[in-house]
Amino acid sequence: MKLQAEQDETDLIIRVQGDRIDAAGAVPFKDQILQLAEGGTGRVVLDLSRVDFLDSSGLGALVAIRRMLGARALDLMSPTPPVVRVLRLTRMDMVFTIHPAAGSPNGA
Amino acid sequence: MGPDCRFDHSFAAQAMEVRLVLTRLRRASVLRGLSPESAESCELVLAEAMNNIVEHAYGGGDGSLRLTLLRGRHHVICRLLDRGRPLPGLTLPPGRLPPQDDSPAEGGYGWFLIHSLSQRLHYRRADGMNRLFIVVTANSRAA
Repeated sequence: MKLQAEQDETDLIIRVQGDRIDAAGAVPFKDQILQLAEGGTGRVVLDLSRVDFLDSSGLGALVAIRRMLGARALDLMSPTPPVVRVLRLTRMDMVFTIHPAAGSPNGA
Repeated sequence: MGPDCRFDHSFAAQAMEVRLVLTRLRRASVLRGLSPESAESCELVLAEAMNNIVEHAYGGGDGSLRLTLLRGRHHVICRLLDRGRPLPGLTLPPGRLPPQDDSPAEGGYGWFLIHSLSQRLHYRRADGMNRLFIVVTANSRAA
C-alpha cells in the first residue's frame, strides 16, 4: 500500500494512496502505519479520502492500530461514503474521531 | 434480462484472488445501473463471505471457489460454492455485533456485515460442498 506521511506541529498525517483496505492487504497495512507512526509524534490522522472499500479485515486493522498506538489518538479524515457506511454499521463512528473534510486546501 | 446479466467465476481461494474478482465485478454488467449503495452492499457482502471461505473453510490452504451472480428485477442473487470445511454446526453464524466492552473488538464483524447488508441468506452443505446463497436488494441508480 502506498502511504504518504506528513508531520506538522501536532499531528502525523498519513495519506492512504491505495483504494482498498481489505483482507488481502490488512496486515501489511497495519504494519506500515505503525512503522510510520513510530517515526512521528502526536495524533495519527489517517486520510482515507482515496479509500473506497473497507471490509471487516480492514476495519480490524484500524482497531488494532488504534490499540497499539496506546495513548496516541488515531483519527480518521475524509472517509468516503462506503467507508462511512461500514464505520456507522459497526458503530466504529463512536470509537474513532472522524474529520469529515480534508485539512488541505484542495481537499480530496 | 439478457445473458450478460450473469457473472460466473471460479478461482483459487486466496485473498488476492478475492480482491481481483471483486474489482472485476465492479465493472461487470450484472451490477450495471444499480445505486451505489446496492453495488457497495453486494461487493462488501461478497468480500466477507469469500474471505470467510478462504480463511475458515479452507483455513488458508489450497482450494477453489465459484461465485455466480444473477440479476433479478429487484434483487441480485449470489451463490458461492466451495469444497472446504462446513460451517460449524452446519448453520449460518449469527450476525451479532461483537461486544464493545472496554475496547472495541478487532474481529467478528464479517457475519454481522453479511447479515446487515443482505436481504436473505441460505446455507446448505451437500455432496461435500458448501453452498451459500445471498440475496441483496437491487435499487436502481437515481435517474
